[in-house]
Amino acid sequence: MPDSKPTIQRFDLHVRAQHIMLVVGVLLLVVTGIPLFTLRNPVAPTAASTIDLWGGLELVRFWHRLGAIVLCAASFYHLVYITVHPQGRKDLRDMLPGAQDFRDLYRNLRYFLGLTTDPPKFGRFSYFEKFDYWAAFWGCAIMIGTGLILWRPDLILPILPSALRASGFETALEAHGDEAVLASVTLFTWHIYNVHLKPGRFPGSLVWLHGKITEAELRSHHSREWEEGVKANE
Amino acid sequence: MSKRASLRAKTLCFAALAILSLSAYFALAQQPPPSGVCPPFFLRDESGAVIDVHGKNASVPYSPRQTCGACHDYNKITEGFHFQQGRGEKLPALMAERYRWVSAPGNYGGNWCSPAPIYRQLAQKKNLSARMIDMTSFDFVTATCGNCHPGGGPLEYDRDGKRYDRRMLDPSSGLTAGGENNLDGDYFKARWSETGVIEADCLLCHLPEYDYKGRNQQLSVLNFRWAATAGARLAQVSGSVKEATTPSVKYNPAIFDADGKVSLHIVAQPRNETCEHCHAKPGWKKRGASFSARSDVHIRAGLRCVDCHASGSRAFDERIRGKEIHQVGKGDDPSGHVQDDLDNTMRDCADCHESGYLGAPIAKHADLPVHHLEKIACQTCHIPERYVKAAQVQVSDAFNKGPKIDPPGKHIWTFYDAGMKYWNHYGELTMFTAEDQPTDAFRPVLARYKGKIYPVNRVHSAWPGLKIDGKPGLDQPFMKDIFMMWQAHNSDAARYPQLEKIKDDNGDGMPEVNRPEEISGFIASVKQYLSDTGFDLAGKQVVWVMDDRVYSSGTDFETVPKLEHEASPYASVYKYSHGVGPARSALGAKGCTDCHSSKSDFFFAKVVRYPFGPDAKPMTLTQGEYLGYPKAPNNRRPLAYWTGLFFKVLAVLVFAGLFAHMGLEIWRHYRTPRRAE
Repeated sequence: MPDSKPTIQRFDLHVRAQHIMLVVGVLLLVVTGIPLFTLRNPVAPTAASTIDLWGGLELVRFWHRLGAIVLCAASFYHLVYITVHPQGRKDLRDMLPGAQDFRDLYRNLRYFLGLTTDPPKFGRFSYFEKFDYWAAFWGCAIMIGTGLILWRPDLILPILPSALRASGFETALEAHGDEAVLASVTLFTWHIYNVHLKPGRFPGSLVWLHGKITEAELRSHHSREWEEGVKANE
Repeated sequence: MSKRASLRAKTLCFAALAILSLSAYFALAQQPPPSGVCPPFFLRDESGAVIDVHGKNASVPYSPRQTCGACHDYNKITEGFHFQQGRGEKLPALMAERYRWVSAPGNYGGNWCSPAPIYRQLAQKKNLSARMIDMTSFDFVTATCGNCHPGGGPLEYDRDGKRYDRRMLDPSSGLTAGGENNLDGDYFKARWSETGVIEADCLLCHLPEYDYKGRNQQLSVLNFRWAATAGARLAQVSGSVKEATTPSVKYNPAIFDADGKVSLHIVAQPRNETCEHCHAKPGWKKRGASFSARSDVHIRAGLRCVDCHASGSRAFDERIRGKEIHQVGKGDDPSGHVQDDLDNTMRDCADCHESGYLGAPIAKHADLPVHHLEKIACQTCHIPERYVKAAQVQVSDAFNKGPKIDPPGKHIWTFYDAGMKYWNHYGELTMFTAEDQPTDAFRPVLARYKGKIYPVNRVHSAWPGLKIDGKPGLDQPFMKDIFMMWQAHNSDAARYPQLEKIKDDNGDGMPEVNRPEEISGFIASVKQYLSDTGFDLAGKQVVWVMDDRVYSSGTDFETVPKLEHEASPYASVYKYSHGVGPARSALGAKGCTDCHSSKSDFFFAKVVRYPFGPDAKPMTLTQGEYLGYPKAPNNRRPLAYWTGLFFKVLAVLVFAGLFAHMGLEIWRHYRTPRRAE
């Protein structure tokens, strides 16, 4: 069956490389972030034993910062990609939320509730994919910004406005921890659900590796994009 | 203005300028050159007359006031707190409220050297009964306070500002040596007219070869006026006021030159040994201070006390800087309130370790999150342990039968060290010098003081107190009363028999008051003794006080307020600043896990909450709990608080949306029969 073989290039090499960097960086950050998060309550024995498990705070901190460097590199790479590369610029435009996304959400909810028999037809990026992307975008901005304050407060705090300087460290610590929980829970539930566990998706595809999807997938999950492609070819 | 008037004005201005210039020249010419070296000088007696060993007037003691005061500003010098010891200073409000017996913040009229009550207390100036006088200004000298007190201030002048000896010698005063003297707290049974006063003894600090033992021997035989002469080794003093043999003085002729002047080894900056003469012993008891090269990196580096505790022209802080100002730069003792306005006038760590002063290594603290330095004092990490024990607990209720405790009244003090082991401190003091301090390492308690975490000795206390009707705070019975009560019981068990109930409950060989029947028995015994001996108990209730608990009986107590860093509102907290270890031994030098680990003392060390629980064992909590870390770090600052709230609300909304979306999708999938593709 021609449809069973992925032939349609959805993501180019740059995007796949960025995604792999993001996966490596975020996994490292989450795993090492858990013991660091426990330090919010440093007197709890769990905090100390979690740190001990890792061989001490220095090692945890080292790997966490290595993860941070990878994340920063991925973010920088992505920013350059979406501002310089033609495909990146196009993807950014396609990724911007619009009224159609809200219509799609509305229709999808109606579909879930059995109020309509036809699900919405999505374009290149569905509204939940856009949510995934912008959540990651926001998350990276928050985590990198506050992480830099936590890493080098002596360098960062002095250049902040005076109103932020006094409680800048405490605020950064709070935001970093809270956003970490928000981002990682979203990642390991929503994103993993959408790409691996969702009915019809299990166990997922290798699009993250070769960047290709099948025509059936395109027709099924991005039917508006597929229709636009068919029309364009006509 | 006419030409003539203008000429007259110019002439007048010129004349005025010339007069001013000449005046300034002659004024400056009169000043001795600021050489910093004492030239040979005459010794003078109290009248100012020259003591001439080659001629007449060679049998009287020299007067530091007249001798040194001939060139130096004696009055300005003796304003220093070392001389005044709190005399005439306003009592801080908290002290006044807590301690009913204090009238000044220093040793004179305030808390005594001991870390906790009960101790001897200065009598009020006016008294109604001899029974209610514990210690007069005269007794202040003989109660060994004079051994360290350098003279001047309350050892020279009474509370009316008059010199004791001259006032007593004045027939119009009606005062007599040894008389009751109207129950005056400065003169009751005092013999100032015979003993003389103790003027500020400059050589005590500025003559390295000073003989403290010789001086104090003179004080013990009531030869106050002669003490400075003997201490400076200027003369042999024989005879004693105490024994009613008129003291005589025989100067050493070898120290006088042909003109009758002396030339002594006078130094501007006292040596460490001079400071330690008075500070070593109490420093041992209060802070486990050993002031030795093995325990302090600064002493090992050859620094001197005065390098940090600078004073006079060399003072670091302008509040105390100036020629002849004798306010010594000091830190901030949480429980010491003498001249609190001069707290932190010494050099602190940053003064040297940020500037490199005296070759100090510059502190880098690379990779240490900055809030550590904001919230933790340097000492906390750099004094990770103490080498010599300090008294963590002072109880003044049971009788301590330890050997060699001197003077005997101190048998009612029992000390426990940082590990809550009994410590015969005064027995050790009679046996050991500072060089013999046994090694007994311990980790200091960490306490928050003025927003920062410091290593401290927060002393716990248990003592008999007096609650006064309608007044805040507590009073104390006299130390001698509790001692005499025990003496009476120890010699005849039938007297104050309830004291027999007080047993050793924890097996350390020392009895302790802790069980309800022991507490009740002790309170009853104290009340009985005070009543028997005519102590004025009107409007007063005898209580037993352990830290912040005031027991009116074995089972009833009320809790009184204390400060965050205190174990007891009635015992001192001593910050540790000496005994700094080398940087490689600091907390954090081996990594973050020095503190951030399950084995870390920083969070998990046991801190004594109350010294004796019902089983006579200490009640404890963890260091982290004491510092307030059982909860997440505080985010009390508004920005951090609102940030936290924002993210929490956002998380709830996002998760609610996402999980609803996923749930509906799954529900739809399994609810609807799959259509054939």
